[in-house]
Amino acid sequence: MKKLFTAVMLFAASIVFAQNTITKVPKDASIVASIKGENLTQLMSVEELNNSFVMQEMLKELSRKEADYSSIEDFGVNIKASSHYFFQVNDSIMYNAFIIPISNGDKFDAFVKNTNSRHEFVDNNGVRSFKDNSEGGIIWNDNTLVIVEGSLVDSYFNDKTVAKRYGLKPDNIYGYTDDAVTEAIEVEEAETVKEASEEIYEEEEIEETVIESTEDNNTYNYYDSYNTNYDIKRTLSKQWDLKKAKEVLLQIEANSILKNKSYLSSIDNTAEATLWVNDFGKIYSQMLGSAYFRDLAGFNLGAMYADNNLTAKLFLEDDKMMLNTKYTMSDMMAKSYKKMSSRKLNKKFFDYVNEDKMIAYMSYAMDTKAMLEEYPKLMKSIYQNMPYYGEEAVLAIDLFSLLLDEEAVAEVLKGDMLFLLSGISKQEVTYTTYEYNDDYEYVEVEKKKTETLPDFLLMASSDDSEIITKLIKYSKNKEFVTFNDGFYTFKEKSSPISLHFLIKDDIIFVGTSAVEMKKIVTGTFNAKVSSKHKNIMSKNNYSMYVSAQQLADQLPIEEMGIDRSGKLEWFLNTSEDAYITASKIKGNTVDTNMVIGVPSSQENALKYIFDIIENIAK
Amino acid sequence: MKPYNLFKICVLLVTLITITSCFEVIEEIDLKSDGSGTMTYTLNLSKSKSKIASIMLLDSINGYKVPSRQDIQKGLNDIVAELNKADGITNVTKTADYENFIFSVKCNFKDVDKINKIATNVSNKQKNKMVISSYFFDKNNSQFKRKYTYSDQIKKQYSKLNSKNKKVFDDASYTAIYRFDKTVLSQNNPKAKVSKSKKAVMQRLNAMEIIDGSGNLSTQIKLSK
Repeated sequence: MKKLFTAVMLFAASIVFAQNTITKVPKDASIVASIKGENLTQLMSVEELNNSFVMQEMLKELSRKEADYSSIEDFGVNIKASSHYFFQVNDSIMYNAFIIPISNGDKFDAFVKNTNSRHEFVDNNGVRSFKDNSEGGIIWNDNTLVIVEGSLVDSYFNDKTVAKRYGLKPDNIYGYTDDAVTEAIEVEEAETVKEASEEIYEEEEIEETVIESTEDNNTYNYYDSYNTNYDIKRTLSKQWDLKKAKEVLLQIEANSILKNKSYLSSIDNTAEATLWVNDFGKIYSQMLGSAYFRDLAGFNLGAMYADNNLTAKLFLEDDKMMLNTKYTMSDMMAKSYKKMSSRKLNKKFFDYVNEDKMIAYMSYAMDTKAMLEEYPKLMKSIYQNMPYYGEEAVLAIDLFSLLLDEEAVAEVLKGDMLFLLSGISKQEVTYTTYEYNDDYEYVEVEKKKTETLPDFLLMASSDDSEIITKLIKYSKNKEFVTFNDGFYTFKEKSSPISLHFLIKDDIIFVGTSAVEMKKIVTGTFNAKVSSKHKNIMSKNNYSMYVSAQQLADQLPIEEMGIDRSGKLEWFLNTSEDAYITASKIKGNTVDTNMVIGVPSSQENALKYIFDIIENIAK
Repeated sequence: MKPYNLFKICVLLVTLITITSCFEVIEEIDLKSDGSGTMTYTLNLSKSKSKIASIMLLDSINGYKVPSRQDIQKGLNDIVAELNKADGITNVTKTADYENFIFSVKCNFKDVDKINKIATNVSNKQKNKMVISSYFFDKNNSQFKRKYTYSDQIKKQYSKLNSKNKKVFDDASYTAIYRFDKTVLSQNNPKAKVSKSKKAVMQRLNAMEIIDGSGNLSTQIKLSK
């Protein structure tokens, strides 16, 4: 009994361990993304997934070959467990890797044989990979599939010593000067790849790549050299990819991302998918590598984005889908951003919003004065280390700040604005056509027709509108603009839209609807804004909202001629509102939220997505 | 968001929401008894001017580069230059109204065969020959003939367009007018009409009739001697 219990426990533990593929992601990965199969299958059962249009099409396509598939589970992949993606970079290669859990190794083997019959795979103690490394970094065992796609860092291989080591010829179109490296060279491992799994994995012998020289100084051809280099790099990349894939497959938990505190703090079991990006500064520095000073003329993006990281979570709920992103900045950047984003949206803007007609809006609140002061400071951190002109660049930035009167500019445009797609209106326009006499000679006649045009209204705060008023008066004197009913109008002959503008109560109004402008002038604008929208606009530095109902009601789909199949109309009629917000900075973090409503006719967001795909694709 | 991007979005919305464009093409031939005459080609996009004016504010739309006013001007100048080089073609003039988007090219010809030669040259340069038309005038018998051959290439090219671009052709029309200094005794195209003065023949086709081949511009006109 004890033995049986132990066996069961071991079996259970092995399954748990096997399916917890996050332990395969290396500790120093820069980006990790995960899709939680467990959560997704709670929203949509395997049976429902199999019956969905997308899956039916996929099964149909795959069944055209020898095997007959009726379920996603026939592939041998465990869709009830999490799959992961990670990005890892060092000075010589950037790895993009996918880790997918397998539920049935035999089924997966059969699936591979069926879908990739051109390439055989070999089984080495349960670890399968393609024969002769024909497919690069693809490897699997009974529990996990790992796919690695590497991309070599060119700047690393441009280094003469490195190029010599790998038998690369100089990419020099103007002539060949160096002596060719002609000795047989064994392809080495990536310089900084960590030996994470050495203790449990006996490395297979990597096939030697021998580069023989046929170089002749007199017959040097740039294109031959390019092709040879390409072949060498391709072979090298495939070998490194496979080696990395093996490391990942056999990695132990002690070396995994689960030992990374920043990653651990980003885990959210309720999210259906997550993304974690660690330290943008480090990624930039690693990726740019030795190209740093040569190719980018010293722009220090690494310094600018040091300690900046991001986590994103996707939640698929019954009534909405939500993408929540947290961007955390360095202390230096956060300090600047705090000042830049200190402005609040002018509440007087709400007096000119009518929710009953409004199709969409976008609000923006930044402090112009702080931006003009802080932005040059941030720029300095990028430019100051430029090898040749760093000093001059900093001097130029200082000079710019000195010449610019931040306060005066900020008085004219304070930095907050609200842009409204306030409705759609009909407008009468003229066009020229012809009338014919008895000899079929024609005369041009002007006729009228009605067109549908969107109405925009832009509002921006200003404490000192004197300069703008002067500009408008100048334009009026020069007859660029006209003045009627208390507002100015600019109309270009060929343009369908007239732009109207006025300044009232320290707000600059620019709009396309003369009716709305009149109402603003006379104080008769019929405003209506719910507290929900007031909150979205005023509590965030940035917001964007689209009303699906208003779009469906007002958009002249038939006239637009873009919906012969009726799919757009279906989509608009079944859609719910969508909005994006970017919060004010809290600590060093800015929260961005994208929310799309799920119609009540749908069970949950995942099923809604599948339904949209089905209706659009069919 | 940069102001330019905001502007671009506004313009895109205008191009999307405004009524879909349409156009008319008018081909006129004024033929004298000696076989010489005048030909005028007019493209009138006035009914779509709102949309075109908006599109022209953009650099590109649906992946196609939007021609600038200079590009259109150059295109017209190239046509004029080409016509000026042609044998038997004189007095080539062009008009361009960028407010209403009406463009026309007019020229005199020594005889209608000179027009055929130009049409053949243009057709030879085209990868897909879509419409083949030629004119004949028999001075001795006072008979004017237009031969029109439909090519399904036009239908194939049309089918490659997306539904939004197809809509452009829904209300588009093609009008052919032939005027003579003699009286028209008869003409054999059932869709064409003879004017009250009996000095002209006109046929109007919808663009779709040209595209699907159901419309035929062929005609034979018998004139008084």
